[in-house]
Amino acid sequence: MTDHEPDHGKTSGDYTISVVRTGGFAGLRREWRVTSTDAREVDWAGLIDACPWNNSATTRDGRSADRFVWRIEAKTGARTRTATLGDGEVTGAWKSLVDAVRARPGD
Amino acid sequence: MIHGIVPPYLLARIAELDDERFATAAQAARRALRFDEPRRAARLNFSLDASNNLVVELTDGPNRTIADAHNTETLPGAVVREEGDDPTGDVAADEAYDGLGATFALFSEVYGRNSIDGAGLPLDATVHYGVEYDNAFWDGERMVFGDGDGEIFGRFTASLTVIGHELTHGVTQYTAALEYQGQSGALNESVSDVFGSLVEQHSLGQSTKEASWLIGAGLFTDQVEGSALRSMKAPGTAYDDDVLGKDPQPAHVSDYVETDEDNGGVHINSGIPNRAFYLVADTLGGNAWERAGQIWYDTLGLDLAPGTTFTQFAAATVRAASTRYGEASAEVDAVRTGWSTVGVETGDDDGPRA
Repeated sequence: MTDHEPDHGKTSGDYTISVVRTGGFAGLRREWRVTSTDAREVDWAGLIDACPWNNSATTRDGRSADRFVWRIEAKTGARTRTATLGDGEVTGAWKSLVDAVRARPGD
Repeated sequence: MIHGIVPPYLLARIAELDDERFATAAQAARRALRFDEPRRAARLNFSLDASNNLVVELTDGPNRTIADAHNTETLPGAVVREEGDDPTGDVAADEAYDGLGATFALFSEVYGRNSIDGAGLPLDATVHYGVEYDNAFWDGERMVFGDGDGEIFGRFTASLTVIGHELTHGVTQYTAALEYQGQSGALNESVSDVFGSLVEQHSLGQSTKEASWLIGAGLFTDQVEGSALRSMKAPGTAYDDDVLGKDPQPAHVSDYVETDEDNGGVHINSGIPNRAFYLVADTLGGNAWERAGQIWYDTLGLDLAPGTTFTQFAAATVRAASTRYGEASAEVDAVRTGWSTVGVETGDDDGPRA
């Protein structure tokens, strides 16, 4: 992933965001999820819209091993956006979104 | 016998010695420096023969550098220990240093391989990567170790199998270059588990029967119901925890897991070739790093295609065993039986060359 331009479609209404982390040395699957009723104090729409969803095809360097693989999904009404990212690509807006979802109580 | 790991600057000093008592050592050091790549280290073994003459043997030695990321995700971090330095007192840094040494020793002493690339490549590692980072990985140039979150995982340097596993990814990168996806990715993972386990067995002097065949024992905290992350002897039995679920590794190709996650389940389906290797080692007995390990190591040098399948890899192990031990040998029989038991054919097709 090289382009970090934000998606121009604005997020509104209810939403569900899931973050699935697989791979890593352990090969364990971990999933974190948040819905609109969980945390209204967080600007989820802003976090989602800041991410470059249209440019999220993961790019492996072909040499690394045991890195995490992240799958991020945001459902907003009838619209579903997904991204699959390598561990080194979870930076900037992606990292803000992932950290916010993982920080929810009970996760 | 005195064993010393000699960094290049000390080799240079020994080479300049003008003292008859150390003429042999100086000559060995000059020879090492003449043929050396930059930054290469060597090991000098000193002993006395029956006539009380000093005998100096020059062998390959590791060149380790350990860095500390200080809980950031910026690599490489600050260097905290270099080759020949005293222990730092930081457990993770010293475990990484010692683990790289044990891994270098297996490849050098048993298989005659000088480091990751076979030409003395420096061994670089970073510890304390990230905050509560639940992973260890190979980034193509160095090994990186997290501290774990303290709830599920402790530090990733705690198991020698992890350090051996990560360094072996480097060896695979310089030899078979198995693509990290699907079956070839599961083979890449399995090769790292095989030699990760063998590093531990070799270091502890364990026979095949004595070895645990566990990968990552001691990484889980006491809160997790599990002994390790993977079992080569019995894939699918390493852990069974109410939070993490059950170890998903298959032990037979009929249970191969098709998935888009984890680069096509490379850490899941590695259970199949892992068990094949264990079965070969168990059949042959003795020390697993000797015959079974030698066959797998030889296989890495057989021009495997990046997309090698289980069947192609299995056929290549038969070819490697035949070349070294003969077609009508106990080793070839053990290899064929090992693969057959996990449901992988070992026909004559070992795939296209790279």
